[in-house]
Amino acid sequence: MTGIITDILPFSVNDGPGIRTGIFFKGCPLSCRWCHNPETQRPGPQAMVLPSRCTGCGTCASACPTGARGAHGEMDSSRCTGCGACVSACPAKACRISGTAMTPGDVLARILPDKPFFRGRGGVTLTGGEPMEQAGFVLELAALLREEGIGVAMETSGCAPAEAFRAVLPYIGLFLYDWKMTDPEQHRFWTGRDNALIRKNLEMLHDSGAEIVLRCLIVPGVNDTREHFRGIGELTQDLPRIRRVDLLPYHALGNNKRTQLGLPADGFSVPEEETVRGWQEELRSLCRVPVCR
Amino acid sequence: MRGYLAWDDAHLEDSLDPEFRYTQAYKDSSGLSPAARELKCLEIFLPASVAPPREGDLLAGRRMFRPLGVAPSYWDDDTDGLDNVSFYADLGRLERVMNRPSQTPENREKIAGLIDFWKTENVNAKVRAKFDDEMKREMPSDLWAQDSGVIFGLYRLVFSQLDYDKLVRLGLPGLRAEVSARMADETLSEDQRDFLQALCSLTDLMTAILGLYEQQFRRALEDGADPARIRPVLDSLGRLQTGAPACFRDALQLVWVYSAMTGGRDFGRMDVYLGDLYARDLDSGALTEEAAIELLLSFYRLMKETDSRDGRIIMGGLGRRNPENADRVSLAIMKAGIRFRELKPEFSLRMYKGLSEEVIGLAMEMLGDGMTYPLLFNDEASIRAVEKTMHVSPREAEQYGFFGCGEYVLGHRSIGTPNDIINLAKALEVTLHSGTDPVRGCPHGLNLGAPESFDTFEKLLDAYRRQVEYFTAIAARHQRLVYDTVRENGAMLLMSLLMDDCVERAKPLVGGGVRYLAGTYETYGNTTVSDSLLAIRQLVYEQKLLSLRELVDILDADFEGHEDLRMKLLHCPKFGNDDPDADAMARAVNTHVFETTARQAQAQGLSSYLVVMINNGANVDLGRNTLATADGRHAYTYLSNGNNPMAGMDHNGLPALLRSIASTRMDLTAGTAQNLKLSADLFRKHPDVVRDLIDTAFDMGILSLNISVMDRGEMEDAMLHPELHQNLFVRVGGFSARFVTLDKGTQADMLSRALY
Repeated sequence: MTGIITDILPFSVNDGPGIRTGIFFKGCPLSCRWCHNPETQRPGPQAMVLPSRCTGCGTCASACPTGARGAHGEMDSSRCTGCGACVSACPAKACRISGTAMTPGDVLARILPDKPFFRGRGGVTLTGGEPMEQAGFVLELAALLREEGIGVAMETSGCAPAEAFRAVLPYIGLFLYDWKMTDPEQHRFWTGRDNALIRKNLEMLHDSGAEIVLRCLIVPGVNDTREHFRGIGELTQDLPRIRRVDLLPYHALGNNKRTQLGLPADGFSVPEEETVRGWQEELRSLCRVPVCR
Repeated sequence: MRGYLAWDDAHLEDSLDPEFRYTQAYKDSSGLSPAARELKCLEIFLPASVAPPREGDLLAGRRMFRPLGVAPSYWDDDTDGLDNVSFYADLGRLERVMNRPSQTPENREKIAGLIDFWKTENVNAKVRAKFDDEMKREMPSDLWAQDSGVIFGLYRLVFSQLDYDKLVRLGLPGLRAEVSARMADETLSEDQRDFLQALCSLTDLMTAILGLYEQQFRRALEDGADPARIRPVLDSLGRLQTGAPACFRDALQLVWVYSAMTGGRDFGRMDVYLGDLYARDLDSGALTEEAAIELLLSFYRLMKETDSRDGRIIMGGLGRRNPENADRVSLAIMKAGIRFRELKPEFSLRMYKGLSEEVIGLAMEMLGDGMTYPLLFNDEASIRAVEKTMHVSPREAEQYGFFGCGEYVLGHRSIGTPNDIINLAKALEVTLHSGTDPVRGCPHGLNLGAPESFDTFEKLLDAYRRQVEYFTAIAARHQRLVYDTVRENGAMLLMSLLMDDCVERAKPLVGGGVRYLAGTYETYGNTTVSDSLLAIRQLVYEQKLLSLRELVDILDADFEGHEDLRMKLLHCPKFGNDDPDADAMARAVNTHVFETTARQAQAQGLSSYLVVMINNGANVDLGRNTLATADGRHAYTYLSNGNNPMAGMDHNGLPALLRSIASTRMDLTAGTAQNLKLSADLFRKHPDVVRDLIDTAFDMGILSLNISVMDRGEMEDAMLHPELHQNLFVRVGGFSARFVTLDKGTQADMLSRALY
């Protein structure tokens, strides 16, 4: 079995306790407009172009079999099949393919050198993209990691079949569970899907005894609303084993990747520090658990 | 920045009397032994260096350096910034005093006489006068920061760690008694007796110096200074003239005065020698922690205001006779440091399994506060490395100390001053230019053939190695020559009195006295060379993209018109990414220079001669005279630093970086310092991660970590608005600095290094 992985990032310290290695899965059932890893949305491999290296020579256009590259190297993501012809052709090494097919063993081999850093506290965080889009792969990898005594956390949108979650549950020590919007229609508008399944899975994991940290990305003008904040607060009341709420203010780093994918900027604005502090205070007043940044 | 705090030119204009008397004494004593002659000079020089106290001083011991004197190393940035050893002469300062418009013609003539005399009599000049032909050819200049060359000599006896524990236990009278007892030995030679007699007189001189400080403080009292502050100083100075330190204050007082008079900058295992008196005073109620912190703050102020370099305080580590008391005083030492919040002292913590968590916790607090201190040493691994490279027992190795960026010495048992530096990138450059320095346009090093003659990579590698071996042999001879010249001219009495086994052997420091006479050799551009060699191997010899001659021509032209090739060179594997090829090449380059260096010890009669891979700003200075290199580095820009990847070339994450670093045979060196820049955010939000990181790095065998906690945004802003960031401290390697005081090149180098 192989999975499609976009990146393996050692020394990740913001996605679970201790020193962790992040495994980024490609493919996501949602299409959040603010996504900061836009290259992980589509399931298959695809090309990315580094504008700082691209000289506009057009060699890639001649090499590309699907016409995804313009005369000066412009990128049309929708036509890219990720074949890699542009990567071999580019004289400036400006192109790369995001998404590599790897077996669970391949991934494990990349993780093992970092094991001394985990020290019983850290471990591996499966993220993406949505790891549960590749649930079979997750299951195999998680079993290998358990054999090695390496703890596993998963960052998930919660948008996957309940039985898939039930299958991986015994292997996952911590769920970093996204809660994007409380209002189902708004959720559908901004992410492409409503949140009914997400809410149901959250309750199921909670009731099954999973360790859960709620992750709330707040985007100005999208979900920085009293109603959503109250919704987060209520979740922490209703599901008492949610350990903590992580407040993640929107950042614009995804735009850099959007450029590399030939996509326009997402158009959202980064909140001021003072605004974020206000959000944190408001959430603290509504939540039963710590609200951290 | 100036070396020691010195009397300014205006003050010296009409007070050069000590210099004239000193010079006369030096001339008059030419028939005496070096020890006796040095004593005669010290008797004039030291009292003339005593300076009055300042408001708020809780300890005596302000001293000002004079343009002529004796020191392990004197330097003056207003002159040339170079180290001067033993009998030094700050000719630049004398010239400036002579040329002051208000100077009288008679005085001018007298000063010209001084300059004329000392021009050839200072020990640096005497070393140079004894250069052999090879040294003359290959070391034409000492100005390593300005001139082009592969090797440069330094002239100093720096960073020796005196036995302050003995000083505190015995006091000056006790030391005198010890020396006197040794003199009863009837088998001593005349030279030995002469040396011991000089040491006895030295203790008398030091006692007299305490008396001079006592007078100064008495005067301050008469001038209306607060008796509550002055009287304890007077009492302490009085006690110390007749006995050993009786309390914490006495110990600090005596150590400071002795160190200031020596011109020492290293305070060794302060927790050990202060620990017992501190604990006793605290337990008896004679001292509070707060009062101890006040005294330490006064000590730190004296340190900061006397000398701009170093000031190392070591805490922790195995081999302490009093770990509990030592840990107690360590807490006060660090608390005072956090309050002081300056670049000095340089706190260092030897971390071992079992060290008090309270001490470690306070150290982490200090680091998290952005102070760049303490430097952290991997105690178990350091002891093993010292044992192996210095050929000593584990028990002796436990007493290792270090200086600057982590160069090991054996506390009060060895001299290991780094007196030569090599620019390895320049060694490769002259090899590729048939034994000429293309920057100076003159012969330099061995001519091992034109680029065309290196038809295999192995031939090129072999030629580079022979070049490094050639220069290293010269450097080792220079190290020896400095010691020999120091021995012929003086005895370094103040150091000899507190270094094993000078009294026992009745021999001066470098005249057979010190138990281990060693040396160290600073290497720069190590990674620049290994990354370059790998790129050459891949592009020239494996892929055959171009010939070596073509590459050399492109490097000489700084890649002009060949940006595409530069990109290809940059994309070759680089050290710092856990890449097997890049790490193997780095290991080959490093192990070669480590072993080449170590082999010189026997020929030069040194107990060891070892590489120190340190990381000060010399990589920037040496880079300014180095052409473009095959790793893709532009001409005249900074070289790689210490055992670090080339700045900005580590992009595979911190674990990969640490694995690369750990692959270096650090156990063959006398120390490799590793800078690690961590974000303030990481320290604030994830202290447990920081601790895991340190513990893992040490488990991997990394010898020491210099941690800077910083914020890239703050550094960028500090380059634009320096006035707003006076308190931004950064670790340059051998020292910490205020970021805003660094030159732009070093600032850019720091900014380009990865921050995790």
